[in-house]
Amino acid sequence: MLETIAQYAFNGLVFGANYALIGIGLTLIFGVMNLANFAHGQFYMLGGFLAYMLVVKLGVNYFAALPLAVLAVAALGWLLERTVFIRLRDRSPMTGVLATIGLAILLESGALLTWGPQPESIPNPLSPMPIEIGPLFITPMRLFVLGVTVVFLLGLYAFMNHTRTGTAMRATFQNRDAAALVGVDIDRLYAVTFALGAGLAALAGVLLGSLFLVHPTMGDSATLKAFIVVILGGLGSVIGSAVGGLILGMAESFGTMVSSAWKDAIGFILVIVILLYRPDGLFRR
Amino acid sequence: MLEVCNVSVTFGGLAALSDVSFNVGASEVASVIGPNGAGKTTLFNVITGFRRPTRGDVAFSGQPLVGRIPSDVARAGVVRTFQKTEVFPGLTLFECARMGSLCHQRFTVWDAIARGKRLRDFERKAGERARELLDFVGLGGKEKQLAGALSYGEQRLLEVAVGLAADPRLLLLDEPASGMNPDEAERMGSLIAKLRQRSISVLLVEHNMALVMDISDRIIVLHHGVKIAEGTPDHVANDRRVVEAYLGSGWGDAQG
Amino acid sequence: MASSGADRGKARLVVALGAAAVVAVPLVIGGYHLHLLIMAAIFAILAASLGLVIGYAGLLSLGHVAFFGIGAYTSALLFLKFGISMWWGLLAAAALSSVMAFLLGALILRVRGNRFVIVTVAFAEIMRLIAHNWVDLTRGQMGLPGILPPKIAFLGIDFNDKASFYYLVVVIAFLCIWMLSRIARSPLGWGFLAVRENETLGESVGVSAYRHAMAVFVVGAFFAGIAGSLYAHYINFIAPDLFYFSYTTILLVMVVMGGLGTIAGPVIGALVFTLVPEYLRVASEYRLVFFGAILIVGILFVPRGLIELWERALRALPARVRELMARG
Repeated sequence: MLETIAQYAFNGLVFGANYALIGIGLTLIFGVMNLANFAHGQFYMLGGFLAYMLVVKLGVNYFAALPLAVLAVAALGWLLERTVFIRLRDRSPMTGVLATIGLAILLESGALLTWGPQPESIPNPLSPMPIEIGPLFITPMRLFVLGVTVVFLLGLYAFMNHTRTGTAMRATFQNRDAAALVGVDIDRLYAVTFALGAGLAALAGVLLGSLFLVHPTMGDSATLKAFIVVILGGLGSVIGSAVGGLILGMAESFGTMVSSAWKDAIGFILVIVILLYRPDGLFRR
Repeated sequence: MLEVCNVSVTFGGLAALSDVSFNVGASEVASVIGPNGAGKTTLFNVITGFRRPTRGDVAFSGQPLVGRIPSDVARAGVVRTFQKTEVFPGLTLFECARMGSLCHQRFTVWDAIARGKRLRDFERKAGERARELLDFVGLGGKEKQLAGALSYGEQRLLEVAVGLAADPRLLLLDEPASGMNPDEAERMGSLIAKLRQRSISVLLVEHNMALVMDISDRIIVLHHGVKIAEGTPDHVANDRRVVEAYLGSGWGDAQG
Repeated sequence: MASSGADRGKARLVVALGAAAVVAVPLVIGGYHLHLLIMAAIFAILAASLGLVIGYAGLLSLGHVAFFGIGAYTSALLFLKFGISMWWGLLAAAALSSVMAFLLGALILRVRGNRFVIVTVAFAEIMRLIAHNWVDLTRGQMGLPGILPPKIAFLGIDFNDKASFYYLVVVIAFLCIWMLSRIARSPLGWGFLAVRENETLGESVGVSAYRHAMAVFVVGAFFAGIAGSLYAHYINFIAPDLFYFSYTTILLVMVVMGGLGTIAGPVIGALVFTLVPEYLRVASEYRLVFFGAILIVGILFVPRGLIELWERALRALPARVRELMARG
């Protein structure tokens, strides 16, 4: 029994760390640009598919394909910010959201046309045989995924606290006008934020896509999960998103013990409970 | 009419207002002055339901205001304007000026579909009143312009018309003349003076001292959230503590 | 706004000709074309109701399809389980959708803005999960077949006939859109505008943002419920796909590209974006790409939608042509 619980907890941790990556990306874009990005899950999907393309169609090594796919999606994010979202900055927040919805459906249906509806798996060179660690049986890939996400989460923490750009992001979270006044280059910051957010989603896409499958419509539910994470943690709180991600991952993992059909409803139930008892999320700003 | 009793507001340990009390009488023009950061806007937020005081009470004509939402406070007859100009930018002046009429009458969805006599009468009266108020503040003839396209000074005048449409008995004006040139400020001053004839009391926050001295019946001076003086313009201008407070905080900058 | 007698005469003629055309349609066309018009009319109700919520009150509700779906399932289940006809099913659908909107609104309308937007999407997803997983009631993914249209027995009318259903849906759509426009321009509608334009200022002059946001949200859901009921009884079959986000996107294209802040805009949007992709023979797998692209390009370059396009087109016409058009 204890072994089962430990196994579920480990799975929850793997998922949770990835939800945290997606959620933090979303919350950065939200906090800095005041934009609810409904195309966030599509960046996640693109990350997975680009890695699949690189490995399967171009024969690139898996460990090289991972950063390449992430960078490509980050570049796409940067480009989109410079061409589309920069024009909507002074318009009502609603127009920005609508544009991301248009983008989401464009990317998703574009992916369906390009890659077809069938799920694909990203081959990786690690052994599929589980290793025994204490009470747990873990595949090397799961360990790798967990390792990468943890490294990135710690790296993000350092980035936010110890670099000029990270500090500028936090300042903009607090007060947009004041940040501009003290000399933050808003144009550059927005583009970097959007690229970073998209890249984090793509990273989660490659990692979870390596454990399971990638398919063109996986973005929708990723977007929803990212929003759940962000509401749980508090809109615009980075730490909140990290914790929110872990909570959602754990809750879903243990939820499958009860009912796998209703697993996806757990996040929503959490959101309703949060809205009723702590409307600003666990970590209000 | 308005009774502010021992109101205190603290933000995370810092006192924005401590133990402030004063009254505003019928058809009176009272002003709250004080250096920047003295707590004037916080005071307005407390009176109009945008912020709950940490302690103390606010009552209007005997009805308590604390704990009510802003639209409810407006219904009780207390309406405010904002330090940062607030209009309905995408609506015409006419649409803006008739909005406040909704304050005292409610319509259900069924009323809206049935278009009964009460609703039609209300629409007609609200329209007439909007035109009259736009004339009153000096924006007559611009009914069809968009509020967002007005000049800054005109937007400040429009704000007064929007507030008056709610038929207040007390109007709180938060720096109505800030950013105005002397001509415009004078126009605002005479507009405020005319409100008295409509038996509307005014509580004014303003940095333009000439304007304040000219139109106020009574002045309340706040400094670091504490009321340090209250009285007629002459009395306040000669109060030693007031002069010290202003000199000490660089009053010249605040007048800007 | 002073209109001369001649103008009024002309307007009346246009209305009369339009009405005659609407009545004559089933005599001229049938089959698939008629089907498209029926779908366009159902979408017109849905888009107009969402247009009130988004365009007037500025509340970006992305869960409108949920109320459509709730309406469809309510009406369908009443028919299949209890044999209750669409006449009562329609009212029950509208009522239940409104009640659900009220409950959801009570949870999230106190604070509007981004959190509202996100939770509406989540709500639609919860409804889809329920339709999908509560198999005993909804048969899950298999869907509910056999939802028949109503009859008027003593007149011998059976709306199973496509032409009859067309007339029925046109009448109901007309009534719904008429009611929505009345609400939009009533004093209640002014309050919606206050929520959209500046809710803080609205509050300060006595316009309760919560009350008006709730009113518009419930009204929107009411009419979405009606549209859902019509859809279920027309198509005869419903499944959990009704709640998919792609329908929300199509609906948004209709509302936003039709023209925000009007009721006519979304109605025209519904007609245009139901019919045009069909007649341009846009293959169905390209359709969503098309809608996504239109939404982005439209927001960037024609923020007021088809109405703005129309005005621009008129301005681009040579003066001579415009003169001729004005003379009629």
